[in-house]
Amino acid sequence: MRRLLVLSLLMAIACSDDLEDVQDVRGLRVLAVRADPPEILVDQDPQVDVTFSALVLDPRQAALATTPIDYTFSFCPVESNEGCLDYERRRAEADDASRPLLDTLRQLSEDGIANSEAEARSLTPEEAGARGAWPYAILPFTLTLTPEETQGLASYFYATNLLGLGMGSLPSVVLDVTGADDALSAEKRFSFNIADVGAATALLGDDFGFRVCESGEDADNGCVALRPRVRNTNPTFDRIQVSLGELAGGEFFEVQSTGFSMRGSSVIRILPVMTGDSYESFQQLVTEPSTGRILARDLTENISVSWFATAGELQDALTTPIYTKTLDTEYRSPRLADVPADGVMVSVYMVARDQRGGIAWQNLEIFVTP
Amino acid sequence: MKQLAAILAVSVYCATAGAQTDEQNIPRAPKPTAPVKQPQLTKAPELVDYVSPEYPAELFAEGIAGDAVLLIDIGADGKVANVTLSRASHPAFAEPAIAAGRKLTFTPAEIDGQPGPIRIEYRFVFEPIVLEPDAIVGAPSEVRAEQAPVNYRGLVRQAVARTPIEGATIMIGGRPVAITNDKGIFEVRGAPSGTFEVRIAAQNYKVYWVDEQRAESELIEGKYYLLPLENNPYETVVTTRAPKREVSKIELKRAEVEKSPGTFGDPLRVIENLPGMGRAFGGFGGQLIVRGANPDDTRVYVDGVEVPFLYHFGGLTSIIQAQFLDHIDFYPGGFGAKYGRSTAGIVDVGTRILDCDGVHGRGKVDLIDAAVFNCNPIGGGWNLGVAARRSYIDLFIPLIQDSLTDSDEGSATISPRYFDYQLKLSKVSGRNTFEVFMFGSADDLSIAQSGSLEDVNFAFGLDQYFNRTMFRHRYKFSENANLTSQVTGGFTRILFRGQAAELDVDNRLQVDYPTFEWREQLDVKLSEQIALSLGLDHLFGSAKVFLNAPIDNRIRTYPSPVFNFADTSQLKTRLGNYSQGYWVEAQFTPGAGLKIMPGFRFERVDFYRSQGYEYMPRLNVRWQALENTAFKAAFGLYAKLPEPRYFTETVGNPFLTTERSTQYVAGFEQKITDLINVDIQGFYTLRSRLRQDASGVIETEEGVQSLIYDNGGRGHTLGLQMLLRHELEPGGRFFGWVSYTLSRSVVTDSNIDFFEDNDTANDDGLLRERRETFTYLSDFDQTHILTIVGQWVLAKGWEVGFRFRLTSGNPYTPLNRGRVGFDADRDVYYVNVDGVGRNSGRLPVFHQLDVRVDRTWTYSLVKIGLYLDILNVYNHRNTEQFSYDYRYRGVAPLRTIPFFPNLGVQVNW
Repeated sequence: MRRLLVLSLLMAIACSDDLEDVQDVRGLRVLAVRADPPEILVDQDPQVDVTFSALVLDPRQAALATTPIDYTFSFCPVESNEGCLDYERRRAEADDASRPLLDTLRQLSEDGIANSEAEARSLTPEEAGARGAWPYAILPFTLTLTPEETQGLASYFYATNLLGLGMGSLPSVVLDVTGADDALSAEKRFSFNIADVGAATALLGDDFGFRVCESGEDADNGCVALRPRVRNTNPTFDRIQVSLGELAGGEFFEVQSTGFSMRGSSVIRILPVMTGDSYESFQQLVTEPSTGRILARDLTENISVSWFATAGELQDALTTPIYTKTLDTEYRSPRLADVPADGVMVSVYMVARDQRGGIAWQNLEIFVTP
Repeated sequence: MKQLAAILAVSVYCATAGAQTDEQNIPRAPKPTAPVKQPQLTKAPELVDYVSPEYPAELFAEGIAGDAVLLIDIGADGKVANVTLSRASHPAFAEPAIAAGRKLTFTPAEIDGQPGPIRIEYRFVFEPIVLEPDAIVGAPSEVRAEQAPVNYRGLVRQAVARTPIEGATIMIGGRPVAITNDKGIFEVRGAPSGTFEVRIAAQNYKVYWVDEQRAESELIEGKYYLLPLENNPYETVVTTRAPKREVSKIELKRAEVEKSPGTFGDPLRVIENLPGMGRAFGGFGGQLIVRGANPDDTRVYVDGVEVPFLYHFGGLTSIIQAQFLDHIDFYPGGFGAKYGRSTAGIVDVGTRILDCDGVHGRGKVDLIDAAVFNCNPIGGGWNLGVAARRSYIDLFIPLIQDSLTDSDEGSATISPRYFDYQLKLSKVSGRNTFEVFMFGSADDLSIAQSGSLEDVNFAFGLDQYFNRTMFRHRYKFSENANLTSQVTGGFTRILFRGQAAELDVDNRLQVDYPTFEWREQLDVKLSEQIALSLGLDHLFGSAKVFLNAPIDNRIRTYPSPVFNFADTSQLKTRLGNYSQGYWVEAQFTPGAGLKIMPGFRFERVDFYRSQGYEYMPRLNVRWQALENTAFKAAFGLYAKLPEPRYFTETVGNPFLTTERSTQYVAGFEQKITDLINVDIQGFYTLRSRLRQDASGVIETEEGVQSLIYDNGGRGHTLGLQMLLRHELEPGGRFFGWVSYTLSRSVVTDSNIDFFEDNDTANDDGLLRERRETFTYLSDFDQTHILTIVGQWVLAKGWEVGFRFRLTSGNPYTPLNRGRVGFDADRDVYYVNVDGVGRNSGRLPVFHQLDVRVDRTWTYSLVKIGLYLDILNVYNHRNTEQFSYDYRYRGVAPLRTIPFFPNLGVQVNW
């Protein structure tokens, strides 16, 4: 009876069917889209000039059986959480003066056809086989707005949400990808902001609802101690380290991202190390829940890493000190029985995010031997 | 065996035997005639051994008395040679009478001084109850001797309950010799010496058989415990009470609820088998989904006291032990003015006035929990009942935990446990009835990880706790008027915990809610045609909310894949509550089987920053058109506030107002046979001002606030329900019912939409505002709900029952049909279901069979029961919901509980 009870409990809590894990890359995927720079400060940058690049790959392309993909970058000049599907509604809510500009900006887009990087670089098969998966060579899309357009967009966002009270409005670019057997869509925002909130609130204090403290003024006077904003930048990978075995806390050593080898059915831990500059300091406005008072809080960016592998098993889909203490995770190579006699190349991708729109990615090539 | 009396023949007459002449041998020549001597009966046969005929059960049950007259041929040796039926008042009496007649033994008759064969007429009398032992004819002389000394006395009680049985008949050698008095005591004069058979029979009890031995001149005494035909009243509830008033009220008998399959013996969970009740989410039940309404819309009362939850962990077992229960009234709708703060249904659980005539109780142990109950008088007319229950699922968990422990991932522990307690004092003294009832419940669920080198060690917990202390006094002015006063104090705590010591995180939401309730109810019967009830109920409370959590109080945050639970803020607030209800209800019985019950309820709503008044007329009409046919209808307005969790400023809307419903019910009841009846009702519930998710802002004295909820929702349910019931007859072996509900429940959300007015006449450049509505099936809509329950009482203490449920799957939104995209900032995939429709899919049909087998052994002082309750006997993998892969393409069903046996034992004393 005890066994029966235990079995019943286990059956009750277990899901009967396995679903594909997000970290397993088995087909066409958009793993990341990056904006560079991730933030525009319109009172410092007279015009928007942001470049978007994407990490799109399909491990089935590793054998150079190239199937090109069609892609389109399109600008979404309103704030959206669903790929600009709600553009018409947002537009309807905008003031009359903004709508022509929004319509104009909505037309900004760029189409293209991309093959895998391997073919684009005309690599030999030997060279091509040196990676588990080659990303598609999608040409970056540079979004350029004239100073007038930038100013017009700033006016729209000011009317809509006061530029996030100085914390930024979030237009985006949507990337649509159509492959031979799949169609994907991805959305990447950038922060459209002002650097000197104090100057703006000095001018428009009633609208903002708070006043920024003047130099040397104490926040107890009812002002908000908000310093001029420093533009956010994308984080940077410094190096990749590996520890043998599955145990956390082991000794890590540096490896080249271009490759190293390990046997099938074995386990390592992979630790991405970010540069010190990746952890930027910034200020965040918050409301004190009980009083409703607005405060400026000093914070440091918290880096997270999303993990992907073309074969084998990654223990975590996401690592961040808040959840996993450190950024490393465990990687288990494909089972020996599944490894061909001449070995197999596996790509592991790491996508780092700084929680403010900054993104970077890094690959690690692993040759798995029988 | 039923009570039986069989009285010896009232007349014996002679018949000649062996004296026939063979007419064929008579000489033809005339002979001189001489007087022939007629044989003379010189001694009549006397009955030596009496055997009772079996009373036909169906006739006994119907109280049919009668007799059967036999012609018995007695041989010269006194043995019965042949039996034939002369006549019988009912054909069913014939066979048992003949069978018993064949076993009778007599002294030989004497004819002309010599033993000889004889034919007699013998009459068996069948009467359901024998109250006149003096009517014995032919009893042994020593038994009949009134002057003989008392040499055998005894005490007859009900087994286990040990209550005295009055009116039990004591039979010796098949002949009634004594009857018990009101204390269960009997005395017999002139009981035979040696070994003799004693039978004790009483109405509604099984016949007790015993052989007693008595030496010459000895006085013997005995105690006898009779088994009731039904179950022990100390075990659980009796629900039949007043005549039917409300149209939709459903009452169940004790035996119908105590061993219902799939409920683990919990009477309160039988509610889920009734019409109008939807199937609850998950395998164990617990949610009260009444006629397609949100479970929040149904109120649960225990002795008129509102309780925050009725079941542990949302459905495992109820918070009140069955032994305290007096009745469970379930109103799926159309309830009277007495009840408020509900827009759907009412579950009214009443506890009983304790009446312990000794120490009685019950202990129960099964795979989930253990419980104990005890009741005993404590002097001064007071009775005390105490009970406690504690689960031990948490003790089983470590048994499977070792295998889940990894060297550097540490170990995870899950520790669900609950307990509840009840203490009740009651006293009936003349016109006064006093009750003190203290009860409480606690659920504690802890999930903790420890020792992990890889991950932050988290601990999560949910604690739900409440207690109530109720004082109630009833004063009976007369047979026609009584007043019930009741005050209750209580405290409720709900605590969510999320802790991570390594990050110095101690997140918690704690709500402490002390309450005080006051109720008065006056019932007056003004005449045979008019009765009046009126009352009030006040609820005071002040909820103290403490929140230390990662409240998203950041202004304009960038979307991120990381939820930073370490970035916490604190919120402290108090939500005051003073809700007043006043009601009056009348009952007019003008004749012709008509009963009209109008009522009116007035409520003053005052919760935090939401104030208002509600005026709610209600009407119930019942017409007993024919002896077996009644028609009924009901109408009523109902109102309640949304749950308190929606009222806080930061995460709710403090200005929400009452939700309302208007209910219409019409139906009829038809008694098909004495045991089979059917109740069919149609119902329509219109809901308005429902709380719904909203977006936008609201302007208050403190400024502009986000509007997270508003009262813009509405909806309705239209349905038909049927209850076909085979009731349990006294001493019967079967009961069961078929419950079926057909309904459709929809919700309409209403959002503000801004649009540009292109009408040139209104071209002022301003945006117009209009309501945009979305109608969809309610999350709780279940088109077909079929429940079949059957229970058989078998021989030798065995009982077996089943419950079969067949229910439409719940509506769901098929996310895999939506448009999916990748949010490169949050690192998640979003799904847009605008073109799909909310709740446009329906889960597969649910069906499940539950079986319960009971075996009971009854001894004089204790009764021991063993039961096996099996959920989902044929292990059907019902789908409760679908889960999706990270981009909503792969779909996998989430299953309800599989085959689940629960073995338990209980002891009653």
